[in-house]
Amino acid sequence: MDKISLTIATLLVGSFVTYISRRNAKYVATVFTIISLGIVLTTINDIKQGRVIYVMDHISSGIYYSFALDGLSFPMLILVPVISLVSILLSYRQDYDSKYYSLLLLLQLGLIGVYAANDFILFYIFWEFVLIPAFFIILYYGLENRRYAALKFFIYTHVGSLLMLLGFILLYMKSGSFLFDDLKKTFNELPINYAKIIFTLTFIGFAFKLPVFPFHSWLPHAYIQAPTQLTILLSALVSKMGAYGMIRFSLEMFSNVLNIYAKIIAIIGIITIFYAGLLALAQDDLKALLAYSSFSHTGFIVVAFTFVNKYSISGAIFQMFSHALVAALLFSCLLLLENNIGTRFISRMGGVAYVFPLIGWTFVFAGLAGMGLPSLSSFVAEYLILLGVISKSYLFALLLGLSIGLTTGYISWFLQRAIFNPVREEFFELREKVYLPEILSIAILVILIIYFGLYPKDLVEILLKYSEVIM
Amino acid sequence: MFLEYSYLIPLFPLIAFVIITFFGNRLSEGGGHLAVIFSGLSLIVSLGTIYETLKMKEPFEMILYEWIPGIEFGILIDNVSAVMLFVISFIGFLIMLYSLGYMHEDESKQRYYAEMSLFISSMLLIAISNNLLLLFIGWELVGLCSYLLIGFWYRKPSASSAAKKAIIVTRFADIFFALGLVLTYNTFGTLNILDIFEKLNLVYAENPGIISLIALLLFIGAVGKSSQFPLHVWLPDAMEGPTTVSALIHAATMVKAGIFLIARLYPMYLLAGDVMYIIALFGAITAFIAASMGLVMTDMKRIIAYSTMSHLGLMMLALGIGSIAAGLYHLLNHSFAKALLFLSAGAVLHATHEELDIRKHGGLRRVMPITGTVALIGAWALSGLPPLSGYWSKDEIIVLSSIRPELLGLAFGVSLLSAAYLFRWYYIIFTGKPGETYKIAHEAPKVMTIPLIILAIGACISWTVIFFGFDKSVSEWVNDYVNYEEKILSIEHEIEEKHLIVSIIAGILALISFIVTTLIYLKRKIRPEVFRENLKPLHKLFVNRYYFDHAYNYFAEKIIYRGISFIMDKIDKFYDKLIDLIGKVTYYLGKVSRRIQTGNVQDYIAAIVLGIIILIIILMAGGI
Repeated sequence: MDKISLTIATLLVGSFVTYISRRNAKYVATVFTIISLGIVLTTINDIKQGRVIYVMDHISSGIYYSFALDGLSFPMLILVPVISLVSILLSYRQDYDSKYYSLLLLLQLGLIGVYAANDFILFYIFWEFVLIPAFFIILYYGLENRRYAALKFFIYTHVGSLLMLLGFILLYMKSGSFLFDDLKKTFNELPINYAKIIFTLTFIGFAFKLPVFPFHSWLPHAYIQAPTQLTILLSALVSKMGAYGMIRFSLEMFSNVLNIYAKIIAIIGIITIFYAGLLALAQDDLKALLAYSSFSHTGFIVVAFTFVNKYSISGAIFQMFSHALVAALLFSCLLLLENNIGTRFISRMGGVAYVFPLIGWTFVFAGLAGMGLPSLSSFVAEYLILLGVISKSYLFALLLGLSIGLTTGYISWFLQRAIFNPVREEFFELREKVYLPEILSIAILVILIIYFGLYPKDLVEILLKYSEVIM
Repeated sequence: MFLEYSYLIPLFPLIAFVIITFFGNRLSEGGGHLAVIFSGLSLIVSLGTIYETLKMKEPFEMILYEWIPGIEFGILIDNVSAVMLFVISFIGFLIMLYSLGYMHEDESKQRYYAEMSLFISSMLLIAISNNLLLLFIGWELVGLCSYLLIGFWYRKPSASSAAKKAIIVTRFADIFFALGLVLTYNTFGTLNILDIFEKLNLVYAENPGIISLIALLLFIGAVGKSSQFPLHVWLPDAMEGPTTVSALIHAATMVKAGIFLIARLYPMYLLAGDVMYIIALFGAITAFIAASMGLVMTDMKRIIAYSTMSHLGLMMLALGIGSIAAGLYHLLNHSFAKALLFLSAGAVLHATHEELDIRKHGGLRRVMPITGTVALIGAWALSGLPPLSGYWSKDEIIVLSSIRPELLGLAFGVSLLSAAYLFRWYYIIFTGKPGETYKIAHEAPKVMTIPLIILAIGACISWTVIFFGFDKSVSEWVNDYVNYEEKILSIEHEIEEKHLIVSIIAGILALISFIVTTLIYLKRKIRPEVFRENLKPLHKLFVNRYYFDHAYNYFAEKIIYRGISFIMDKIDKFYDKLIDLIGKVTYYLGKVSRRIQTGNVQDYIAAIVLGIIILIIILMAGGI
């Protein structure tokens, strides 16, 4: 069995074993996640040579069972078990039942499939599959408004998925095969108007998932109402499926049509960044602030990939990778803080760093990573993106730059009010409680953020190679 | 032999940072002793390095590792970095030593020493990096440390607010630095400083405009960092941090990073003539408005902060006119004198429970003789009166500014004001009748006075570097890349006949302001109210800091925060409801249509007939 199928099989078995192991579910889930991480890590050696196709079996009528990895899918694939591990470790404190852990493993399975699929039907099955565990986790384990949020999330992203499916069926009618390479070949021979329809349908599909303004209404509800452990996965990995789709399809396959729409998409991306950034500034609910901040930062990917050159594409992918780590860290800090003080509203915080030094200073670190401090991974992405963009447009580079200023604004404003400032009276009665698994999960993220900020060369080389191939 | 190990210079404090962060609570003085030792080690290596650099004619470059393909991080040391290196490691070490006394009673010593070590490490990195991107990393890390240390006493709302202000303003400027960085890579294909210089003439021949654009973008970054008009508002507020922080970061080193950046890339700036004029003009404006604000403040540290800003303006002015030597000369002299002033202020604050209002002090020299004396030396050195260090470099800059009348006018204004605000500061605190704090004040411990005395000696003698060929050694290298000698000669030619007269006028202005200040605050012959009442509108303008803070606060809070972002929030909520409405309408339609399905055959037949009739009407109306 190939590595990807093996990972998926492991997670499938893991999910079942976790479900029946009842009381020890969390440990079993951890073990299976680590095993899948181990398998996924072995792909590092394969990827250095470029694109690898792990399996390619024809099933019937142009549908293939095929997995492949390249510079685009590899970073995300590695992150799936890493972030899942973080999320599981952070769940230890809550007494979630075995169903929860089992669903988390299924979510992981779906994500692995999405990022590794090399055939559209396979891709679509996993794409939709991801929705199911996410929906049930929000529905069963979410906060007070979970039913509304879960339904909204489900309906919204489902509409997007259907548009995407429609687009690909239109393409299949000409190609007769769902294999990515065949789809790409056919697309370039299509009449331009037909191609435009396909491009628009699929792009809107991805835009729903990422999300991009104005398809974002599900996001605040889902991010806020989901248990924060799931919000970590949603912002780090699930929303990235949209970005992945944009780069894999809109850019890699449909590049001739992308050139027509590039300006419009870039403008939408800029609007997304500023719209979400300004919304983040207005929030008192810290979770909403982080949700909008995450939403705003994904806009960078949208802007970057439309400037088709090797730096902007590498930057977009690096941003997917780095943003996953940073968003995960920010939400992890929020989770720990909420566990300790029982509120997520900034107006009820103050002086957190004094009473809860570990959480407070980690939050400061995470905030700085969110601002794109050089020497941290987010700066590498910003640098590559700006480098790619400025070669074609000074205006867009300036706008992206100014958005970094806006980010600095809302993050430092929140840090001032919540983490610094006089300590709130009621905090003095509390003691900081952070457990080993939680420290471990935070340490994983912090180390990765620093490592990829100081030594991004290996990853950037893979990304540059990918961008040169697809251009 | 030191040069090969010069990477140890920033590495030592970095190691101290890591150790103190994790184990500082188990070390003596919260890791203070360790921090002093490691900054001492770094000082030794950097003194050795400087010695070897001065002996060598060529710049020393060493590649350490590749960050991403095309960008190699390494070390570049030449005479310009040597100046900066000396200032940072020497003053950094003295201030670390002084901190042992000053921070002794603070409960967060561990955090203090960790952040200070990180600061020194990143600042040293700026001085010796071979690559603009590595320099930018150091640049942002010192900004981070400045943010954390301004907000060191973060439970004070004013401190956490000042920290936020500093990071927002400087990062806003850094956006342009980052844009300049990517534009440089895009134009030159490299960020290695020496490689940029090599390609300078080639690029200039092709596209001179792009050089000016890059120079301007990087200069905006420097404006933020070096607290130049109009992004100067953060520096006075930054005095919320411990005084040692103000001395090291906001006087002696970090705020000089902007000056250093322009000196570092001087060959490029020389090719961007229009940008050079902007630098000179903004420098002169900064120097003047800062001096005028310093004149009316009552906060002990803010007065020195405005003085810092004013002197940074003078350095920019020197660089803008075209004299890298004068700029760096003043940088060196100012660093000693200003660190000295801050640390003597720190000694006063330490002894008087952090009483910042100068009006509450008085006559302190009698109880704090050493501090009083060194403070006088510091004030004297900066005031532009001979013969201490500040005079020599300041005089040189004022003479240079005679190249343009508007610059000269502002420079004369600075001469007139700086002696006044400095001696006002000194007289009110250290002379006259005993103030409220007189009883509790006492001389600082040895660990604080020794660094003070060393700095005072430095402030007296640092100007003598001019005899060791300082001018030549920091400016000669520029000739390797662009024709600098000619430019200097033309400036010298232009100011030749004015030289003496300008120098004398500046001296007289400084002397007048010194005498008037002495009459007001020492001899008490003139009441200060005389000025305040007769120049009411000016006084109001100065006290309100030219309304810059008001304007920025209004923009950030009223327009962006309470305005646009809240309206956006409302719009988004409304949009959300609208989307829900679509869902509700669909649901409602489903409900209605369910009711139509009555199950009665008669109803269906009636509906079909109705439908056919409507169809016929439509078709007939269509003209078929």
